[in-house]
Amino acid sequence: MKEQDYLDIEAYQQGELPSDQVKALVARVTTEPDLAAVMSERQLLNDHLRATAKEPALRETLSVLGAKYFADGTAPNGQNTTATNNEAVVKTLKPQKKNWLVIAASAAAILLLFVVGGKVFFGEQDSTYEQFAQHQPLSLTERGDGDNGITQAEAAFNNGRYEEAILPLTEYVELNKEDARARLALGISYLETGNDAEAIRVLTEVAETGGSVAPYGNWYLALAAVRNDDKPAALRYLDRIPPGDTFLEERVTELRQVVAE
Amino acid sequence: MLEELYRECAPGIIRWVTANNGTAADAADLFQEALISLHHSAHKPGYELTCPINALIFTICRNQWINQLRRKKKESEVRIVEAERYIPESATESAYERWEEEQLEKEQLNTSLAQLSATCRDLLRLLGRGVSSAEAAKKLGMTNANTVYRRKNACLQRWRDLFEGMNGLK
Repeated sequence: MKEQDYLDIEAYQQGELPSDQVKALVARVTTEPDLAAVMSERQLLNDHLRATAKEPALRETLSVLGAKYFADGTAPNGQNTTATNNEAVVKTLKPQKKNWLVIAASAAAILLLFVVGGKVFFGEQDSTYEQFAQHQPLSLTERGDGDNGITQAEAAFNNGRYEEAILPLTEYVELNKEDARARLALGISYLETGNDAEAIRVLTEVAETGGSVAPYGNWYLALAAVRNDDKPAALRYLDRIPPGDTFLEERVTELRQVVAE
Repeated sequence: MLEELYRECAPGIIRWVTANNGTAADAADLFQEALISLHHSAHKPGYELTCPINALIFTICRNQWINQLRRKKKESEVRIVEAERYIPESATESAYERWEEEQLEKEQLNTSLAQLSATCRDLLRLLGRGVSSAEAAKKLGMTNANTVYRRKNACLQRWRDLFEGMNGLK
């Protein structure tokens, strides 16, 4: 393999390879085992890095839920869930274990480190983006088309493999121009792979459809603006989202507060 | 979705862990780590859940707790919980085996990444967070996106050598 092949793979996995070159590269993968092996190895690493990057925000969410559902062995409905009459319990075994306050504090410390680190290494706006960028699953197959490309797009998108989702979603959207949800997923995929210019172009199209998905176009445009530290633009997009959508309403209020701080 | 999992799984896991010499806090830790590990699994290409998620989470929590007791050399207590160990459905068992392989792979990835230079780690972490190559170039004082691709490629060649050493890649 030539050095340019490796650089093309990097650009592809960053979602930054032009679409004509993407098609050429994907076609080569089917006939060149060496290229396929390198793609596969690097995909493995990239997936791991992406999952790791999202872990702090997930831990924060889980800590909150853990405090709610595991506190003192009592379920939120008041039902005691601990064992009460099991003879196998040996009381002296109990390890020195942190309680939930400590866990919550640790989670907060991890989050704080992440945010403080974010200011140094990544920019505060990136952690705000991570906090709010929770995508609803895509379900194209429910619309009755069993084409493998659609299944691949859906599986890739729902599993966070956004660069892999871009090509099949682009092809699907070209054939199904009226499918605003698929177009939204394409915009999100561009956003997640750092191709903000394409993301903004596609999300603007979604926002301008005027249908029920349009508020989501504006929501993701706001998130793109947040990530680029353009607070006035973020607020403008948030202002365009009408109330009434249960998924968005609370999130819009919270993001507006964060942006205004 | 997450809250639903907590609502459905927490009572059973608390009950099992506290019945086997643990606390509700232990159960919470086990449950959280199980979800974090599944979050990593879900990012793998082609990942599909092949058994009910509740059953898989319970199996992970239970086996991890047994391992913790074993590490603490509480042999008699391990025997107690082993005696009470239930046999999962075969689909759950094979999903659990795959989960164990994924944990091993995750450890190897983390170990190999930790051996890279600080510059490589910063660059990979930045790109992993979805920052564009052009933006990464700006943040790391590199000339442009092409420099980022070249630097990342050099980092990944080194990473491959390290990972190959652990994993037998050819």
